[in-house]
Amino acid sequence: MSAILQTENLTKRYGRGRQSRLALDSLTFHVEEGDIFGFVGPNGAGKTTVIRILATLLKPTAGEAWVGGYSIRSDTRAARRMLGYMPDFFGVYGELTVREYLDFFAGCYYIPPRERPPLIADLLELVDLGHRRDDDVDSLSRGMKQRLSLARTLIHDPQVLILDEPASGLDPRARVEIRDLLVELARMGKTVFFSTHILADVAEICTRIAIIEAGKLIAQDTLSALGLQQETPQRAITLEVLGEPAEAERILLSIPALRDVQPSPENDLPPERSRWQATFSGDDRALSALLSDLVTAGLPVVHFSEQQTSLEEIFMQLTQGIVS
Amino acid sequence: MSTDTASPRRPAWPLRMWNGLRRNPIIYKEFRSRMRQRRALWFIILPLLGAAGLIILVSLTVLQESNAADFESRRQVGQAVFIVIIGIQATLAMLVAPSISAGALASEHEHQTYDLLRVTLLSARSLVWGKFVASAAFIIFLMLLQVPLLAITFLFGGIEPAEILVHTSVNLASVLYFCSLGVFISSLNRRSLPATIGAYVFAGMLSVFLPIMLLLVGTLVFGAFDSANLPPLMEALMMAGALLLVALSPAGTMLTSEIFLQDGDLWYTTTTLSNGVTLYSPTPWVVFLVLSSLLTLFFLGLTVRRVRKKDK
Repeated sequence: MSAILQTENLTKRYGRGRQSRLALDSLTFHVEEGDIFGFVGPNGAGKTTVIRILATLLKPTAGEAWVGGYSIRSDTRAARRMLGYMPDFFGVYGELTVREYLDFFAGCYYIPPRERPPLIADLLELVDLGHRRDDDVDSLSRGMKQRLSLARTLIHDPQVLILDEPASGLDPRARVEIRDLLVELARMGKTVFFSTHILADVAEICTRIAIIEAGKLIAQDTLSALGLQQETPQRAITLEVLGEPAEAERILLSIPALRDVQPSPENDLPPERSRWQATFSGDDRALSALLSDLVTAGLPVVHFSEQQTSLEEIFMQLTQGIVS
Repeated sequence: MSTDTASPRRPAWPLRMWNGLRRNPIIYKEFRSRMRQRRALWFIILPLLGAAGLIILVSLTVLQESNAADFESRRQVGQAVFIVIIGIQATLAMLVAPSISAGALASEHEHQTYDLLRVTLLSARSLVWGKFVASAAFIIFLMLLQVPLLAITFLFGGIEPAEILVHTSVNLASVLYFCSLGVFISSLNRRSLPATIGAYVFAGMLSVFLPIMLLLVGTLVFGAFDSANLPPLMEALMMAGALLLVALSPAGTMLTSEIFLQDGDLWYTTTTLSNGVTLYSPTPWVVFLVLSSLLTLFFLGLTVRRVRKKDK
């Protein structure tokens, strides 16, 4: 896999002199071909600035970015050909119909007029708006406008889609529809790079994520890898043991690596079993050693599992709520 | 066997420019959007109604005071109708063109579509020229709607082809000039209302305030000399200054050109200086055409630069 989107020491400073504000601080990351890459960060973290720079709408103060191998500084036109950009607002031409709207943008990419009708029909089919092709853009619902906007970004068959908050302000159904569309586009070979506040969407569809705060990149990797990358990963352990609960509790409390030991509130087990929850700090080897220690201490373990850390938990642990 | 692999010849620049405009999606989109707006109907109907009403009014007034069968009276009606139509066309050029064009780029910001356009392969030049041509074409379309009314003047007579040439040329050049100015002001604003106000203020300054200021400065400068004994060079400079002053304003150009036309001077005029030398100078409308064309290109160039700079 090769990087289709890449930044190196990307820095953006707004204003000059004492009034200046550092929006991005030496941001370096890459997105590989075929990724669905989630760009996560609190409000004011610099997500939109990064997206506008990648979309060639903003020049960085320092550093460089490449889209499909083309520099956004020196090969702007080639980079624009490679990318489809969807901002976090929907630009409307109220007087145009859905078909005319797409036809206009096809013209802006110099797609020959005879090639446009089948292309537009295919795109409207993809975003499920074929039945609304002759309706005014203004008459569409927000979700439909967002899908039309997605169709617009695809009009010139770009390799990379750069989407700023694509699901923002949508109702749950529209959100799911957009999410499914992004997965479908990735299946079609597109690379999807999108910023979002909705961590559930990121957890659901992203192959990789990056977390940004106060203009600095805090982490970038797969979701599972990020959960383990923290300096002292807090791992939630669930255990099921046989025998007297009091005896089980005594043994569990005697293991120094385990903290916050408590019985599980769920009571759906046979009487001879008890379920316990605890937290544990350590890597995979330490976790394996813990299981061994429990068995050595005489605890009849019948179930031992680690609960997956949610993205919300990772996000909260990694960020501090600083705004640049 | 032919081995001719040479690339096809590049078409000449007018053809390239025409092809560029034909392929420019902005022009189509602007026309589509504009003609679907309710106010487009008013833009079409009001000048026509105004022209028709005024023509009826002046015709009746002239004919009431004279004999309809009289040749001279008919000439007067023809001239009055011509003045009404040219006046309405001038109003479209001077008052409507700045307001129509001032929204060109500002409205893209308002509709949040500016970024969407800039991220496409459409160049800054195509964007600006597309907006300019679309605005100018709409005003020219409104002017063309007056042409059937203009035909009435031929029924009555009293209008020379030279007059039609001069006034129509000045009006068309004014449309291009004010539209380029409007598009430029539009590139400085993110909202249509301040852009429209700015366009009117700027157009007023260039067409009214600047000539008055220049006139005052000229009066002060040349007032220092004894007017009866002005050196020939100063006389020539004064003539050139006066010509430029008049050519800054479309209305001033039309009025003075009419005076020159009465003397039979269409393209140029002659003046004898105090030393007996005959000075040939173009008539005001010719100067206006050159000056407004240069200013049009200047404003368009400035707008393209500004749109390009915004990308940085």
